[in-house]
Amino acid sequence: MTVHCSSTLLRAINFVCLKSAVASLGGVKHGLMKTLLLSTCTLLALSTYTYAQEIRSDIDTISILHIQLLQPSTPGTPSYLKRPVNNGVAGAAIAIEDANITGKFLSYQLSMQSLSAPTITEIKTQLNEPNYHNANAILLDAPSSDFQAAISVLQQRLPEAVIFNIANSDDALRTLSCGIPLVHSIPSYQMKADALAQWFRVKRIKEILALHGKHHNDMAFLSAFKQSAKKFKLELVDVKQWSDSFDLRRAAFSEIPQFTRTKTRYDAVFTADFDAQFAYALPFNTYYQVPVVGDAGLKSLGWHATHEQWGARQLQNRFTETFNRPMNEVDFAAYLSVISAATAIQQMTSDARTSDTKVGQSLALTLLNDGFTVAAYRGRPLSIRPSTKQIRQPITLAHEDALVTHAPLEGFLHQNDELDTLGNINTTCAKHNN
Amino acid sequence: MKFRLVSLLCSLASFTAFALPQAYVTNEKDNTISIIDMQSFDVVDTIDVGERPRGFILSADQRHAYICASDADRIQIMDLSNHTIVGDLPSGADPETIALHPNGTTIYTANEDDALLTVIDIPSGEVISQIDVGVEPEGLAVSHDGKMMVVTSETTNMVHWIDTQTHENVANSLVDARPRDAHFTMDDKYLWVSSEIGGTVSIFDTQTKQKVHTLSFEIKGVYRDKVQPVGIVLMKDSPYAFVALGPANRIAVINTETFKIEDYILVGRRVWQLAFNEDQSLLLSTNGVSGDVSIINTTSHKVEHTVKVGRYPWGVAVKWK
Repeated sequence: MTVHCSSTLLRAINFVCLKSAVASLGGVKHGLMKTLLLSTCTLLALSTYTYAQEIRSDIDTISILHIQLLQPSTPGTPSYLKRPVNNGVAGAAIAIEDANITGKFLSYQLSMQSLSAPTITEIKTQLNEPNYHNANAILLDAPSSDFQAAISVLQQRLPEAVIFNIANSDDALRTLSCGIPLVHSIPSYQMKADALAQWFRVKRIKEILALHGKHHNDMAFLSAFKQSAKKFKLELVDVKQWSDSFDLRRAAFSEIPQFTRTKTRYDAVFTADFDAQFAYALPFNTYYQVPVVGDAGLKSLGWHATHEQWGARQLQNRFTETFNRPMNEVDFAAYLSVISAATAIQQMTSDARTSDTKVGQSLALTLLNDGFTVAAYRGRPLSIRPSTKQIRQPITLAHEDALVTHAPLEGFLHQNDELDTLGNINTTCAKHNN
Repeated sequence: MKFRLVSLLCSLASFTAFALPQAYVTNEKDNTISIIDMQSFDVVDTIDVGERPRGFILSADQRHAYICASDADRIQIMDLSNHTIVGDLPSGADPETIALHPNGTTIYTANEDDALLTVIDIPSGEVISQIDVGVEPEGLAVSHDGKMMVVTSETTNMVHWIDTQTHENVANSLVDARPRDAHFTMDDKYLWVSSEIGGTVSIFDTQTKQKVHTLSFEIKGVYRDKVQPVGIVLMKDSPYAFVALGPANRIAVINTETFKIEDYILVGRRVWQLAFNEDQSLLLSTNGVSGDVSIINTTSHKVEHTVKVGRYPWGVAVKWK
C-alpha cells in the first residue's frame, strides 16, 4: 500500500491515529474507513506519534515518553484475547488528562509522546531525534529479553529520566532497580502468585496442578507460584507444560481432560500462559472439575474492569467512554505511573520543575522519598518499596464477570504493611551492562 | 372489637408514618429512600426514587428534599408532605452531592464525571453557571454568611474556593489524598475537610485559605490504611465535631477548641455520612456495607439504636419541621 501524504495530511492522519491508535478505532464505525486507518496507522505505529494537546509555554511542562518494544504476536492466540493496540498508552492518556486538570490550578502540565519499534536498535535510532531529549519520565513496555538492553539505552540517552516499567511482571526485572530510578508500576508475578496463594489458604485448597506455556513470562509466573506454594504451604501435585500440538478451539473438550489427567487428585489448577495459548480452554474442561486460577478463570491482576470500589467506577467510566474497551492492568500501570509522577511534581518546588536537566532527578528523589504515597482508586495509599522500587498495591482477584476480592486477604498480616504480604520486599542487585 | 382494634392500630400506624421527627436515608444500591421514625426508630416507609440516590438535603423550610439520583443524571425534588417527586433540576451528568445556599434558592452540585461545579437557580430550574474544577468533584460546602463556597476534588486533591457572587474560582488549596466532605464552622472562620486516602482531616483558615491544622487518627487494633475519614458534622452550640472513619467502622469525636480526639465510637461497617437531629442530642450515621443506620447519643457517645435500612445507605437528613 502506498500512502502519499502531504505534511498536513500526515499530521491529520497522525492525529486520527493517536485518537484511534489510542482509541482502538472504537469510535470509527465505518468498516472500510477502519481498515484504511488501521493500515495507515500500522505504518505510523512503527514510527511515532505526539499527543495532540494544547501545550502552554507559560507553565512548567513535564514530558513523558511512552516506549513500546513491539513483540511479534504468537500464532494461535484467539483474536478476542489479543492485547489491544493501545495497550497501556490509553491509560496514560487518561492520566495526562486528569493530571492536567490539577496542573491548571498549580501551573504545571504533562505532555506525552509515544514511540514504538520491533527492535532496540530502532528505538535507539529514534531516540536520536532531538524532540525526545527533554523526556523526564519514560513509560517502558518491553519484554524480559530486551528489558535490560532497553534500560541501558535509556540510561545513555536520557540519564536523568525516571523509568516506569508498565507492562512486565517478571520478578527478575526488579533486581535491575538498584541504583537507578526504575519504578515498577505493574505488580510482580510474586505479588500475583502470593495473592492466589492467600486465596487458596482461605478456601482451604492445598493440592494444585500447575500448567504453563513456553513463553518466558510463563516460566517467571510459574517460578513465582512455586515460591508462593512454599511460603503458604501448598502442594504441587504435578507441573506440566502445554505441548501446543492442536487447535484448542475445536478440540478442547476432548484434549484438555487428557492433558490435565494426573495420578494424584488435585483441588485446583494454576496456569501461567502469558500469550493466551491454552489457558482459556481449561475452565470446565479439566479432568477433575476444579477451579482454574492464574492466566484463566480466577485471575490475579493489578486492575480489572469489574473493580468499582473506592471511586474506581469513575475512572472505569472515563476510560471506557474514551476508548470503547475495558481498562486492563497495563493501562492501569501506565495510569498509575503518570499519576505518581504528577503527585511528585506537586511536591516539587517550581525551581525543581523548571531546571532543564534536573527535572527527572528531582522527580526520582521525590518519588523514592520515604513518605511518598499516591492515591489511585485502590482504597489505600500506595507507596514504593525502597529496595525493589515496586509500587506496593493490592491485587485484584477477579473472573471475567465479577470481582472476587482484593488481596491481601483478611488475616494475612505483616509487621510493617499488609501489602508486604504480597511479593518480595527485598532483592539482590543485578549488574548493569552499561 | 377485633375490627376496632385493627382500625385503631391502622390509624396509629398511619399517624406514626407522618409523625415527626423523621430521618431520610438514601439507599445507593436499592434506588430507594428509607424513612425512619425518630421516636420508635423503625423504618416506617421505603420510597422508590431515581437510580443510585446519594446526596440528600432538605430545603430550609423542610417541605422539600433534593435528591441526587446519580445514574439518572438529575436532582429530584420531593414533596415531603406526600413523598412524591414533584420535579427535577438540570444537574448535569452524575450528580453526587448537593449544597444549598442560605438564600434557599441557589443549589450547587458536583458533577463527578465532568469535573464541573453546576450552580442552579431552583425557582426557574435553570443552570446559572458551570465552573471548571478538579477531577471528580465531591464535597460541597457553603459558608453560613453565603459569601463563599467550596468544592473538593477527589483525584485532584484540592479544595476549590468559589465566590458565590461572581461564581469565580478565587483560590485552590492542596489537601491530602482524596478529599471528601467539607464543612464551615458556625462562625465561618474555619473550613474542615476530610481526606479519605490521606487518612486526615485538614482545617483551613477561611481568610488566608491556608491549612492551620491536620488531624490524624490512631485507633488501637485498626490498621492505619483502614482509617478513611469521610462525613463530617460540627455541633452548633457545643465545641465538638464528629468524623466518620469509613472502613475503620468508627466515628471520631473531636474537641474543636483543643483539636483533641476525645473518643472513637464503634458503629456499623463502612460508616459514611452523618446528620444530627434538631437539638443535636442524636447523631445518625449511614453504614454502607452493613446496610444500617446507627443512632448515637452525642453526650454519652453510646449507640442507642441500630436501624436496618436498604443496600448501601449513603445520604442522611432529619426532618423535624
